[in-house]
Amino acid sequence: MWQLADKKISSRLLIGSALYPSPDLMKKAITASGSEVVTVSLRRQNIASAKANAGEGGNDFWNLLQKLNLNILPNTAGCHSAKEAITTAQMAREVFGTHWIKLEVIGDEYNLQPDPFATLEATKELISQGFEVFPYCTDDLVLCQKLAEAGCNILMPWGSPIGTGKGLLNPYALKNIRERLPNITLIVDAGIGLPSHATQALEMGYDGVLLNTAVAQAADPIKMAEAFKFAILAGRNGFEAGAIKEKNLAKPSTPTIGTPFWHQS
Amino acid sequence: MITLQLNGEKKTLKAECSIVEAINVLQLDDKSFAVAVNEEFIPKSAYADVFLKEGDRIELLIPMHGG
Repeated sequence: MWQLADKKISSRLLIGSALYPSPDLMKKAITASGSEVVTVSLRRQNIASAKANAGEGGNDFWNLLQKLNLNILPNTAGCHSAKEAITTAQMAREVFGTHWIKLEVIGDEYNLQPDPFATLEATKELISQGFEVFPYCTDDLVLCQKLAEAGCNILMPWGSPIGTGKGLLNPYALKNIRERLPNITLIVDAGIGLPSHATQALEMGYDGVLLNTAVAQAADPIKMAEAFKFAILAGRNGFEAGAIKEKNLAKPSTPTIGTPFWHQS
Repeated sequence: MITLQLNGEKKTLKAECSIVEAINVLQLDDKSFAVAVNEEFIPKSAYADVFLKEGDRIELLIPMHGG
């Protein structure tokens, strides 16, 4: 078990609920992943076709998700200012009944890079309103330090831009954040493509990984969800076990004493 | 008659009315939703007290898949 905000949970995988081929596959993949935290969003109700679209969101989706009995992490995806994000967070708190919020304030439309200034501004306000803020941020150390100083218990630096599947583009920066902020819960959010990317994050001491596309858009989402479950377990065990130090010089693992055919020259 | 924006679409109401009345008139049937007017969150407890005016921008949001 580990502590995520005010909850004790087992899995270190946080999973998204978007982009699955069907609601049934979403449900099965989330279950197969073993995740106990699922991300959701708020969107405009399509007034003209609310009933026709019921299967794509709204009450049907929310009822299905509630049956899984998971921790809900609403996001502010699509917000481009602190004001929009704060209002969306307030609306999410009412709809989903949780003070957890995955704060996303996009600064660049092309690579969906979070706006560090607006993210910090919104974080301060939301914390003052009693939210547990999970900020989606870049891997900039100073930004992460400022967010921690603002009162964040959890930080979620990106591995690479959302949906790219490029993995951890800057392991140096991510390791640096881990070393410098040892008491903050750190979760790599976004850019994960392969189970090995998740393993890498956990091996470097990250507390968890948040992903969506890598599972939802895999040819077999259920099998990929299971692959991530084991990859994350492997990475965490590897971290806890204490890895050997990397060396330049080869050192035989088989004993040299008693080597056959050896003789003094 | 007042004209306002509901989720980006123009809507007309016969007169200024509360959010509760607007929800009935517009036949919004989703149970789980939240409302913002002019980018300010309006908690459910205030629906009867907040009156919509000409030009108001209303966001009515429902749960959706998200990453």
